[in-house]
Amino acid sequence: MATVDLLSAGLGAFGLFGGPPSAMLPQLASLGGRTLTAAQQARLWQSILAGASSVSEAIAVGDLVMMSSSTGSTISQSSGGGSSSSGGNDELDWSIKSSDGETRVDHVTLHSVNDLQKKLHGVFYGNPVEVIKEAWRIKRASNLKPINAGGNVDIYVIPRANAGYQGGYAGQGQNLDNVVIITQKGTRNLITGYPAGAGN
Amino acid sequence: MSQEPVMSESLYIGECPVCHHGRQVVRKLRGKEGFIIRCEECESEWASPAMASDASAAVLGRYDSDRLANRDDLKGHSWVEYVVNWDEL
Repeated sequence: MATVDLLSAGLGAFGLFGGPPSAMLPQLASLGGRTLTAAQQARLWQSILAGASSVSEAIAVGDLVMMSSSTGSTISQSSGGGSSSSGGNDELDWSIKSSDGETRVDHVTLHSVNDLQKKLHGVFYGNPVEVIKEAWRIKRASNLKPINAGGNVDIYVIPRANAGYQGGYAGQGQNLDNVVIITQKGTRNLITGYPAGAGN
Repeated sequence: MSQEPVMSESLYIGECPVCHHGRQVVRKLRGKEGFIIRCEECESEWASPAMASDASAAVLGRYDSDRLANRDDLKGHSWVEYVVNWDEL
């Protein structure tokens, strides 16, 4: 896990001022060897300022997890493994298995091909696993909230252009610009993900 | 569409009221008598077809050992009347 200490990077001292000097903006844009969006840079800067207080906090910034405290701040590049829902990162947890042993990768891979027995069946254009991971990053960056439809799951409808097409016997091959990700309620434990229209 | 479509043959009773994307499939419990209903997509579960239209009655992960039910399993069972595709398979 690569870490960048904000104080040694010369950024901690800026908490004394109202904002980052323009000369330091390139460092904010690429901290930890990762390129940050403008929104992430803004959140990062806010967190640096907040680091002057004694409140410890962890803030997910895209693929970066920032820890700040009264003693300074560090940025850690998350492992990306997503193996635990109780860890400090915000990755999807793919470890659930169905009662018949089906893994989550097995399950979402069913959406790489059409299924004409189902009324509707979203089919990914690309690799289902990669598109779902990308959609989850979009969800995190936009702080998108889930829908709870009454069961024990959270349903995220995440805008992602050209995610797939509508299959199934009632599908007409129309382009789908969202990815639905369903997790166990209140967790990052993935149940399924598939391309969908705005309505589902 | 780079691959041929598949035809997943499962006995089902309707569309899931939770995710609206999967079918509510009949599954046979392993090692004991009885069946459950589970959404093939979001894995929401119901103990019987009578309550399966109610999203708020869904549970998750309550049944840990089961398999797809087939016609032989379900023949003569009261749940047959709920199965949408009983005559198709």
